[in-house]
Amino acid sequence: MRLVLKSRKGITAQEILTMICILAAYLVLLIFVLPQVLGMIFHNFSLFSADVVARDMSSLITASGIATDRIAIYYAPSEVVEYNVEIKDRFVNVKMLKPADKQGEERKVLEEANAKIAIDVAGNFEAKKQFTIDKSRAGGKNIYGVEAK
Amino acid sequence: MSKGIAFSITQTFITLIAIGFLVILIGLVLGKYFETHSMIESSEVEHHSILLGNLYLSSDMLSVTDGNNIQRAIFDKNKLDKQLINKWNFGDYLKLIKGNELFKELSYPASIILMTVGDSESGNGWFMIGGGAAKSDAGKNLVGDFSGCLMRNIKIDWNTPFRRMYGNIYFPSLWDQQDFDACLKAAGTKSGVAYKEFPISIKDGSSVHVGWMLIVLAE
Repeated sequence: MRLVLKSRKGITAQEILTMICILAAYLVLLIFVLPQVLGMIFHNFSLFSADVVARDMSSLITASGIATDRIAIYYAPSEVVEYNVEIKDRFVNVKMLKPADKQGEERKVLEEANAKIAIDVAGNFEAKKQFTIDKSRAGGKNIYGVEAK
Repeated sequence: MSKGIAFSITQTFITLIAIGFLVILIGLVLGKYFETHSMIESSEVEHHSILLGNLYLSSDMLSVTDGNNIQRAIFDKNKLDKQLINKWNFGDYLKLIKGNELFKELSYPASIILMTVGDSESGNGWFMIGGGAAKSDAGKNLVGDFSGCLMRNIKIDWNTPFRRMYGNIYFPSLWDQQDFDACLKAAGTKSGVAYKEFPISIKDGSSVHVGWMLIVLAE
């Protein structure tokens, strides 16, 4: 079988079948695979972006105040990405750092975000991945603390 | 010429597929971006109001304490009288100017809080308006603008002693609920307004009554 479309060479049935296969592969990729891959990328990226880390930390710090006795909350947004975190004046400021290429190299800030907290806590941490928020009560007073490593 | 036509048909076909692919790709990327972004953005004031309400439920400035232990969501009537405005105690209305310890210690910066507490059994009620002292991101004093708006909209008439406020209870009030809503908007709240109601108990001496606490938070 040989189709001729105003051409001496024409398009073979094999070529048409190849095109249909490529189209089918495109459609499968577009409909099923791509949305899942993109969703996964956005989901993962959103989990450790400075904006989400600032919001998560602000929520966890404020939520620690809800405990009536003692609570310790461990938070590690990413195993790879490091953050500069400053907590003061009821704001959490998070700077997401670019991974260092050489030791001692000045770290570039990739993204920065702020979030509000409803209690008075203070802390300043540089290039940290894991955070622990601690609340306890002693002598009828609430004691808050944030540690990082 | 005829070979050229055959080539251009194939090329057009591939170009169309490529354009379609790009359009769908861009659509998906933008769709996912806005979906994720709006999910994070839209819930902020709602999220804050839930956390703030829960902070007040666990606060020793309102809840009954037994030495070092706090009885969450069981409010002490005397502490309510100290921190909030008792609707029948007109001297308490000075707290609107002075502020209270509760909002100073537990509040989001650049926010306005209206808190109402009602005793469902006795009909008693408390309320307080205040906010976080810090200025908003735009450098605008949210609380100051809101207070200024309220002062301009004071209504003293026959209805003043019986106005219905948030939470469906009657307070002797100089403002209608619509005035509050209008002033919240006029103050230029950025993230919006959230309303959250929580079930509580109110302990008055040896008796414990069922009640509720409503938090209106504007940011």
